[in-house]
Amino acid sequence: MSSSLPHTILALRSALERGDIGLKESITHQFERFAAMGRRLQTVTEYFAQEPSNELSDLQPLTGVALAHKDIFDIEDRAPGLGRDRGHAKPGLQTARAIATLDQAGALNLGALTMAEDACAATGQTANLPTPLNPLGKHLAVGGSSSGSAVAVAAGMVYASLGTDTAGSVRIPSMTCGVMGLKTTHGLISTQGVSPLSPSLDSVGILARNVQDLSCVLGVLAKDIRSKAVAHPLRTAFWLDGVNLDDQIRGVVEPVFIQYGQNPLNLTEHEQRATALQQLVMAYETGQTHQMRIAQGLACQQVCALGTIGLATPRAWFNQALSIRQQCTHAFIDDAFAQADVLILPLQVAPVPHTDEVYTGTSAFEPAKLLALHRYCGWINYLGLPALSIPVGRDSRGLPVSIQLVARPFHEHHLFVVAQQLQQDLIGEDGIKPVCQI
Amino acid sequence: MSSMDTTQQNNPDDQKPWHKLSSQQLSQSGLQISDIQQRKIDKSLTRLSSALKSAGLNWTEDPSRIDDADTTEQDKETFETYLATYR
Repeated sequence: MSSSLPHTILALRSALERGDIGLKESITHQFERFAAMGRRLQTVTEYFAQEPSNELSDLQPLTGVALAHKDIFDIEDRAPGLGRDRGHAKPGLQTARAIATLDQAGALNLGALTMAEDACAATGQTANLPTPLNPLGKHLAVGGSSSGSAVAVAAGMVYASLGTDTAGSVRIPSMTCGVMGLKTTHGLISTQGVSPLSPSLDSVGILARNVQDLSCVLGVLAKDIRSKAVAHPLRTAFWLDGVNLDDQIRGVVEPVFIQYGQNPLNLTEHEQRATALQQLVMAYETGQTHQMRIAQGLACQQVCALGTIGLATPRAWFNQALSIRQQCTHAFIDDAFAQADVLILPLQVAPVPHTDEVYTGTSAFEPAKLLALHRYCGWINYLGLPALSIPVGRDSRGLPVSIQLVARPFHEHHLFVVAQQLQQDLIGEDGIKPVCQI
Repeated sequence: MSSMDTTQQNNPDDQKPWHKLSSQQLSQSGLQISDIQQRKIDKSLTRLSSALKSAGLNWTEDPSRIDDADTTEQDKETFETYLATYR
């Protein structure tokens, strides 16, 4: 958070318990900062009023902790804007289960954060709302679709933020803004009250600046995962053989892979198969989800392009893709986790791009650079596994370079152990600090 | 025959075994698709089919040979039950 507030959720809790900072003072300070930075970075679609209280008698795990979330979650009496607009009143609507769980744990929900329209893009570029700015530099692209979440976390506006990940939508924006992003195991966190894109692939995820805050928030949302003990030293493996990375990225990640990944693997066949199947499932389900909007000409360009392909995709292909999913995941787990608990895998293919390289309609737009943003993301969604994106170094411009860690289903606690080691050795608790402030 | 029809006739993707099924689905969905859009869709599906084929999955070649019973809800449940065994 800002210089006058503790940097992690646990530190804030300790400060509140000790009385170093008052609850009311903390809430007021966090909201003022959120509002000021939100305007500057164009990342908030709606601010939610806070009622600061001095009541500290019942300290919950997230009491007084500033959070804000992707504008894809239902909030009581408010329908989300989904990157199309700023949301609207909808009396009777219940708060999404994940957000309600955080609220019950004492968290503050300061506002709704901007996102790529309908969660269907690898950048935060928006047509109807201001495109959020990257706190690392305004000329740098913000990945999508949970773009506002990554910006808010990177800028210190909130401790953490919920997003959603169908093909990298938590990990890509985290990567471009130098923060951590956890895509949870499919089904771990309820998607009730979350607008779907591709329900078979959608997962709720968490963005934060450090492992401790990720763990705190996940601990509230999935208590059984947090309480699992890690009984033995974790074994790691890495995959670089046959992976196509920019030389500069390879120069940063290869030493990390070799130092922290004990065994080399070749996962090319699994990745190719799962990527193709993920593309099929995502296109088909996007078509089904947005059929009416596409037919009425109301869908955004990306949804229209992908969904139309989905509507033309033979249903039998989709059926087959789902019927072999368990077999594919099982084969992958058998191969990749035979001698490893955590896999260290590529995520970032090229340096964080400039806006005009990946935002459509701009002068230097390069489709290949846009595709590179999600090159190694979607296959993990098809397999249903948890993945954590984490910056592990900087390129020659001082910009973050990220990788992803992958574990068995419901083994997020294993990801945290390895991520904690990487954080401690390579980037520190503060994460990658903005190199050029907006 | 219009020039558009001629273009369609020359589209090699028209010959794919899945093309008829795909076109039927699109017309049932109520979408108005131009010839240009249809060719783009055909190309995308051809690319997808090739990617699956090179990953060892040949079943896209002839969808009529795939069991068309809609078991998707059951498959989703089975997959989630399978994932839960690791919980």
